[in-house]
Amino acid sequence: MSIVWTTWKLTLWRYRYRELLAIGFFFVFGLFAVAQAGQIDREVSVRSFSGSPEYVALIMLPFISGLLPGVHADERERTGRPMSFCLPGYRQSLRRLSFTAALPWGLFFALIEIPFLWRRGPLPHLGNPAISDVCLCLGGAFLVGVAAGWAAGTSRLVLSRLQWGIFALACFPLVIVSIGVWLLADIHRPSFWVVAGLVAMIVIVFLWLRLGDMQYVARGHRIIIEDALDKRAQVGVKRTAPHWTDDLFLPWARQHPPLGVQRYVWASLYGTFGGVFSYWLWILVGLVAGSVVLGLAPRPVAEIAFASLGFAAVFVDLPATSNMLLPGGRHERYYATVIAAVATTLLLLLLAVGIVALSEMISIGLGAGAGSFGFRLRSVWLVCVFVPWIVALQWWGRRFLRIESRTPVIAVGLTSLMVLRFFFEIHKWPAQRCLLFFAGVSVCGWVFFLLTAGHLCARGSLAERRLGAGG
Amino acid sequence: MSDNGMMVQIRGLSKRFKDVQALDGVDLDVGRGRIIGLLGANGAGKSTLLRHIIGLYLPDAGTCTTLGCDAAKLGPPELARIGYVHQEGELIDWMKVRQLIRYVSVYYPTWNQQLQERCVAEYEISLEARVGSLSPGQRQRLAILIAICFEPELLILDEPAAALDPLARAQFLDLLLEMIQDQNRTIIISSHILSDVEKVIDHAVIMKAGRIITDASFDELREKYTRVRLTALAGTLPETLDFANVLDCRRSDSEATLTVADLSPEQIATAAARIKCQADVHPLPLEDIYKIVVAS
Repeated sequence: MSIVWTTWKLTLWRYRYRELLAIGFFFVFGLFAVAQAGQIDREVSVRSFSGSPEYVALIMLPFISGLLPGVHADERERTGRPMSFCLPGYRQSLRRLSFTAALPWGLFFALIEIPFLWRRGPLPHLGNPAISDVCLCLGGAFLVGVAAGWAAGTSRLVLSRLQWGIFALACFPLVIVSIGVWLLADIHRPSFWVVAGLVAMIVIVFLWLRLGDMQYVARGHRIIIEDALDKRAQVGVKRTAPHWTDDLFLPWARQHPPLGVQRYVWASLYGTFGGVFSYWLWILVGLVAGSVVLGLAPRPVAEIAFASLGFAAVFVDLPATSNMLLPGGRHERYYATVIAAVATTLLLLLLAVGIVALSEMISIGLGAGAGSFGFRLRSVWLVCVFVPWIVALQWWGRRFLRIESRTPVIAVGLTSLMVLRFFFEIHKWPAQRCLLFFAGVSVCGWVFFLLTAGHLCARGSLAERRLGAGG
Repeated sequence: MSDNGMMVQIRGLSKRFKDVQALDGVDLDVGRGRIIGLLGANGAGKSTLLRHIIGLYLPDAGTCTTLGCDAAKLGPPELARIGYVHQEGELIDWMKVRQLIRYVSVYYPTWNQQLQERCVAEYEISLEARVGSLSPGQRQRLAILIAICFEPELLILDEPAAALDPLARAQFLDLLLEMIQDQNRTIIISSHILSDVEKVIDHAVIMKAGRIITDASFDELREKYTRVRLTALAGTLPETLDFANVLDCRRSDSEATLTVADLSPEQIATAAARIKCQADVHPLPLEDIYKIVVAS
């Protein structure tokens, strides 16, 4: 039995992959259902970017989902085990495994494309497609799905400069969409899929050749692979907090009496946000890019992306579950956690306000006039609706479901967003009712968060990392 | 404040993680100034017990009192007297070493700057390195540094030397030996490297399957379990060696090595004289004592 076959057998049957299966379930059933049910009958306006926003999101999907799960651990599993190193076909196993992992994305895309082909609309070629058009569209969609999923899943192995590489890969689906939107007017034309399929094919061939040459995969030696992966794993820790953050938090902490709650809270804020501020340049770039890209994006996509900002809260390590023993009891941890969560929300709100303000300024600067971009100030509060829910869900997932990964929480959040969007698409509620609804969701979220944080700090285990075998 | 000179008092402590009974009715007293070795196989419940002592875990049943306070309610004044190094060596990866030390020192009014500088120099820790890029051994050294530089009264070391190379382990042991000179300092050390542990401990607690099976001073254990080397004075040993409480016997025609329990040197000498043998009594190393206790 080959490595590829064995790995897939384990993937399908072993319980340890339950998180991956859960993500797949949410994406396939959640997003696909929403895309199909809510948006399929919308007419496509020629030469308009707003024609298929959901499809744009769906093209981005395999890329994002390929990056989010534990790719690193998976690669290590596939390539780093001494046993697999000794098995025949080891050198080919990596590309075969990752390729087969990308195949479902191709099928998924082809499946999504089918209803678009038979959709009624103003474009005559969409009414009753010829069999050749169907083959071209489905084939192109399949190749795009495979290329996007595969490129994202193996980016860490084939790219020598990870950050720029990921940026380049992120451009891949955007390039495809751009071709469809700006050159061919509609992404559901066979001619688009021919071009997109060719681009995807080039990516696939590049990946196939690159992954076949194990020199690029750290010269094909197990130890070297592990070393290389370890080095790449440290990419995320190359940054450190700028000096001004040290000088901002720590002297403030020292102003308060030793071993007091206030000193603990201030110092904890540094521990929590110093790492975030180490990416201040990226945050600024994100602010500008978000203003331009999301400002230009159609309103539904922009709103979803905007509300998704709240999901960034899962990446903030709140003090409640820190394994480092510092002189803060359960009460101090609770206060520090609540204040850190509030601070997270405020920072995200600030970012959101910055994006809106900048997008409006750009809009005015371009002569389009205020309010012509996708965002409005009233959308800002969407950011903070999800923060308490996301954080509390993450804790519950860890405590009761033993889910350590952040991905399922993000998947649940994204799906909830899509469902909400779908709901409000059907039920056109008045603005006041919407406001009341989201205010209620927000208040409930904070109550849920406070109760969860209280439960965790008062009655829960504060050691986040579990011990093996009851040790 | 400590209670009756006890730094830690545990009574009937039980903890269950789903199907695993991690701790099962544990009783333990840790007096001030004790150096306790907490020994046991993987999964015996050592780390769980230590996490209860510092209040990270809450018991399902029983009580755990640390520094005279319920461990679940330990506040900053008590926690500032406890140092803890755990086996994962979890630190804050995005910080530089200098930043981490500065960050941790903010919490403690008793931070010893000189000790910090000494440890940094001895452990050859680069202050400008990022914590996330340190090797496991360097991380562990850093974890030890930040656990001892505020001079805690109660130092809890959970597999502190597991990731250290032999040289670093020796340095760590030297530091530990220096620290235990302070009569008021209590140390609980859990480790699988028993040859290291036996150099510092004065008390051994051996756990198995969530229970404490032995809780005795190291001297008592060394007196209880001994190795006797018998040499026949008349050329050959008798077929039957008339010794009580023999745990293990390896013999040839003229020599035998016995591992015995609960026999005083006088009893051994008398028994050896009875079978016309010369008896050399040697204390057992901790590793052998541990094996005997766990096997029994």
